Amino acid sequence: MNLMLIQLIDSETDLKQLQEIVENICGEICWEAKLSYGDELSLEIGDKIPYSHKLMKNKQKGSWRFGTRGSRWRLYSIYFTLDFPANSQNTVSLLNSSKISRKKIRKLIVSSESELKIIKQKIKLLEGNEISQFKLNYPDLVLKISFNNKYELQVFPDWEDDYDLPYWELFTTNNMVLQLGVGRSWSYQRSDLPMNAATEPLTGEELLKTMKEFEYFPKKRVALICGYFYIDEENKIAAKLNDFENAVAAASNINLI
Amino acid sequence: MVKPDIKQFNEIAQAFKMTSEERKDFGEFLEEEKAAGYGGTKNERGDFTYQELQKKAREFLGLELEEENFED
Repeated sequence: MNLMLIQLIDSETDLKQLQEIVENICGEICWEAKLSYGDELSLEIGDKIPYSHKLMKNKQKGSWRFGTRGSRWRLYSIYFTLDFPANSQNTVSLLNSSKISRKKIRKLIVSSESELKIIKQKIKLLEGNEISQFKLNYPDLVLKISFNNKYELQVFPDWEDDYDLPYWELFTTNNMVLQLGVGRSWSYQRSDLPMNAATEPLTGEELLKTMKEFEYFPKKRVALICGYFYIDEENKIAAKLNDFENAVAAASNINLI
Repeated sequence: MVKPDIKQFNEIAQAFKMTSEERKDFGEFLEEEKAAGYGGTKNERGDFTYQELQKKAREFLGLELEEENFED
């Protein structure tokens, strides 16, 4: 079974867990920015890990990997200007003034609509920069990734498309992948199990391993993630259910810690 | 951005029971192949047709080699 947590996004609090999952990416360095097949923007971030695949040997990938999935995006440079009070008399009074404010300016560098040659060249600006923010904005669900507070990448969900693809994805350090979409939802699932293996239930051993991996989640949530099983109040596997909906209902009806 | 191409690529990855991680690596592999002059015939940029993607997937997963060995 491909463990999957799916969260519909109806309010800002529905993004709280997502923000917890991505908080450790802040401070990591983006060391490669490139286009993957289908012109997907792809960022390699964090530790450099050798590919295990024999056809990719001598190449490295990031411990965090970000990719768009056919979504529109824009890359801005960020700078700040100071707004001075109009009636400032001299430098001393100006510096002492509490009315000076900092204004954030965004200047477009390149976007997904730019020429391919320009895109390949300009996205290299991101390389060597630290991720300073990874935030999904509510309610428009525009993803904003800041780099050293110098650059900002914005990724836009397209509510009109019907291609049944997520808008972007982030492979995390613990063999999981976080995706926004399809629609107003996000998911978090294992990245090292076949993509279409979602209908096969876990064995008891796999379930216990999964509970360990998700120990920072409430147990009720783990029961939901595990789908075909739920866990009773003594932390035992209570039942093997026939379908996911029944498992969700069962998990919702028992009082788990 | 070409969503139909990405969807087709996704379908191939699913048909070959790739994990999400392998699908991501497969995308990188295809770009490497294009850059090395082993691109497809779909367009002048070297993108791959559905049949070519299937062949590349088999190559990526080492299935062709296994099939050849089996025939021997």
